[in-house]
Amino acid sequence: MDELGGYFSGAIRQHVERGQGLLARVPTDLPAEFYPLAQTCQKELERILDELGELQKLLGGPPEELLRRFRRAVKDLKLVETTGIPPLERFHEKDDVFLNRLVRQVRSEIQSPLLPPVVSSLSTDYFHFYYYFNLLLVPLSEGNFLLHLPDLYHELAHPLLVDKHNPRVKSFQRAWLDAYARAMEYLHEERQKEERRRSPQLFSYYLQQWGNSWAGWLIEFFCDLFAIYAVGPAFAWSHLHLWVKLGQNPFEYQTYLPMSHPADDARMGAILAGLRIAGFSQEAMRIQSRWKAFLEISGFQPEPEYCRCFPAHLIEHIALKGSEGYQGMSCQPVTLTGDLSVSAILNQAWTCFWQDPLSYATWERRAVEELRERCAVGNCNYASLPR
Amino acid sequence: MSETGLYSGLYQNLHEYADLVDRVLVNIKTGRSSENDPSRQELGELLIQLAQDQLDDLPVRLIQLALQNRSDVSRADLDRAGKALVSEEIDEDTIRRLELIAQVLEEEQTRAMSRIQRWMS
Repeated sequence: MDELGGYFSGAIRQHVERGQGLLARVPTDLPAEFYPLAQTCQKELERILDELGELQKLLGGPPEELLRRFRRAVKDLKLVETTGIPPLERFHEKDDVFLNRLVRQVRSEIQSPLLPPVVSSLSTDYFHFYYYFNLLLVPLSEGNFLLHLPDLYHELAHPLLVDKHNPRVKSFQRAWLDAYARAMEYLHEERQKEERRRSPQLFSYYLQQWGNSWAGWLIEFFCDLFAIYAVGPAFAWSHLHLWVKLGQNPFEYQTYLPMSHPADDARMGAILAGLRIAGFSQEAMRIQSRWKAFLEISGFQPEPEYCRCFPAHLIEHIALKGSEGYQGMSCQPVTLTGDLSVSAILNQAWTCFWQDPLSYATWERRAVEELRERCAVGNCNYASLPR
Repeated sequence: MSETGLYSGLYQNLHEYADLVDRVLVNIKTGRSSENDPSRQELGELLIQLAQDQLDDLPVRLIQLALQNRSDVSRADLDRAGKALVSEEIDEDTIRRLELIAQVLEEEQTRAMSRIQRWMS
């Protein structure tokens, strides 16, 4: 065996050990809510171990493929170790079981086409969805509060845009493709204008950068819109709340460094357009007025390039396409009249917050307790909304 | 509301395609590939699809967008490699193109992973 062969042989064996060690660490005394994640991790580890076994047989074969396949197996193993296993080892019985039941209830209310993710309160940052494990990480205390739970709906939309086979998601994906084509058409027109004007090269460079980023931005817009059509104004309030607490320049536009998400003001524009399409014009006006008030005290101002990066007509078009896509999946649109659903309680939370911000915390504590009790017996619906 | 939703989906789809390219390459290099090989057909059709302007499949479109700024692999390369795979005409040039595509897919998958890892707890 040559030196490279010797290296691969030893390194593969080492990773087989690592994979077997991880397999042994998948706990067996888990709450049923975590079974899907445990099963995914086990199957993934078995697949990786099979692949490593196959690589051992290929040691004399083409080295380029061997290297790439080995590196892929190592990456996959790392993902299982850093993302899949920790929520199983460190699950928080009380909080995680509640959040899982809540998300199942949400998914059932909106009749989303895909199975609900497993939820773990292990995030050290904010909400993170991991497609390959169908895993949603939320911050440790998120299950004790209601004002940001509408963000769960945004996360539920992510897998709808990457799923390859479920026919029910196709209308949402087609709507995305239509909206993307419109965004590219707009940027093409802008580039032509720039050429005619013989403007400085810098702006053409921006247009090119925006073209590279619009796919990612549109995914975020569509997830926001899914949330708006599924939970209504509560999601818009949640977006406002998050920006007020942690947001940066809401009118940011991409110059040199890539922007993973569209500007917060552009997102709010799409959210408000979505609310109007969904029949919540009054609420949209109220939210817009508070949004403007917060923007004013923040001191941020939009530059002309921001308006060209996220033009209002394109944002309106995206909101319409999002609505078409949502309806095409036969998902339930949010209704807030006489409804005792999770979406109703999340909207009720925001109403209570604005009615009496000081006593809201007391109301919220009681509402969360009641919701937890109902989820504990397998029914997250309220008999009546908490007062 | 991080990037993990997008990049973990992209990671998985890139993984699937990268795996397919390597399996087909091993079969070609070890003389076990024929025109009727289902994985070779699948890869050929996928590469032809990736070279098209109009795609109505979002997961494939996202892969195409991830590759669009790569100067080392053009749409013409994808198209030629794809057409060669669905025919009997596998030559050294096709193998070279497939190697390049495999390398690019691996790099993009690594990039997707680094975007995911930024958020890992």
